[in-house]
Amino acid sequence: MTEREKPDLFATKATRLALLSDRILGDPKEIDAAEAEELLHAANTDPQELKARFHRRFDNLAKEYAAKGQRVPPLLKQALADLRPGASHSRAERELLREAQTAVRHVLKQAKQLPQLLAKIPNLTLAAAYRSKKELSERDRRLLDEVARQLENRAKNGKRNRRLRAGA
Amino acid sequence: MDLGEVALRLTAFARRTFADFGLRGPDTAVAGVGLSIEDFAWKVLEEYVEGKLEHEASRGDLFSLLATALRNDIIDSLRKAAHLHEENRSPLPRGLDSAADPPSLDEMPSAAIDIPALLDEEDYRKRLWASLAGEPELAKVVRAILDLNLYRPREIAAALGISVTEVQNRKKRLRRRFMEFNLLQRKVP
Repeated sequence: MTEREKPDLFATKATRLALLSDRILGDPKEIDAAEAEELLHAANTDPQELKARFHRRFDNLAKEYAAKGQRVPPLLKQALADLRPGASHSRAERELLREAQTAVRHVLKQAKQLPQLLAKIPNLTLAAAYRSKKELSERDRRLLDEVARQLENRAKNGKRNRRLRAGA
Repeated sequence: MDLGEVALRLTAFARRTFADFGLRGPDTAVAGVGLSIEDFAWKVLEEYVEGKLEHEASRGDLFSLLATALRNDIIDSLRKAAHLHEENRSPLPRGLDSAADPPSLDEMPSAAIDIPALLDEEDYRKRLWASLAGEPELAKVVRAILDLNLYRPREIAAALGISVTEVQNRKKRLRRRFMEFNLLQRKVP
């Protein structure tokens, strides 16, 4: 056997063994996240600690990019986010959380802008509602008395005007 | 796809591949190359996030691509380890007059792995059957695959008179059993 043939034989034998393994133990993709965690636990590997170690390695890699003044690849950023210790287990959950945070931030931003928005509206009239109140406050009474007085005056003025018109 | 999940699945698959090749023990590294299970998983993920390993949807799902790359890396490392093992052998045979002397370092049995044995299918089958001792349900699945030459879960289920889900569950147990056996066993007789 020539030196050139050796690696090919090696690769052939290794590939045959890999195929036999896939036939018996199943396709690699059959190992889902839950099974992976089980298998790692069985080998005394804590999945969360493993993720933390991977996060540290990716963090160092990102720092290398920064030190060289290069842009950190988007997939590296994603890996850092996905492997961050304490991050939620599921990506879907994290996306929901992100959406909720964005929505709350938006509402808070609008609430802060409310005074400026109200100031832009001319002659804003606020209607007082009394339905849920059991008793009228002193201030409410004054307001109502004022309204009653205005109506009374308007009625008196109306009568006077009618008399003047009739006299004329 | 969540790369945290991919990292866990890849590491579990790297452990399975180590078991396939009979690389034993929880903290094994490929001799001569010095890479551990975790190193192999990390290397593939690093190549992916840096764009050195590109995924095209037409070539199948991402995890299959990364798992294939990882297995190829392990095979390459074994090849390198085998090459180093051969290079380290003494080219000169021991002289007759020195037979009583203690062997030189390169004549000592190598602490490195026995590469040809790792690729031996017969050895693999022996290890597999040994791992299934006391597990008749799992042994039936393996017999259906090897003796009846069945591959699809539906075919195996029909042959054994069980559901497809049960076949999948048994295969899951089979993977775990084989990997645990590999961690505990030093040598199969």
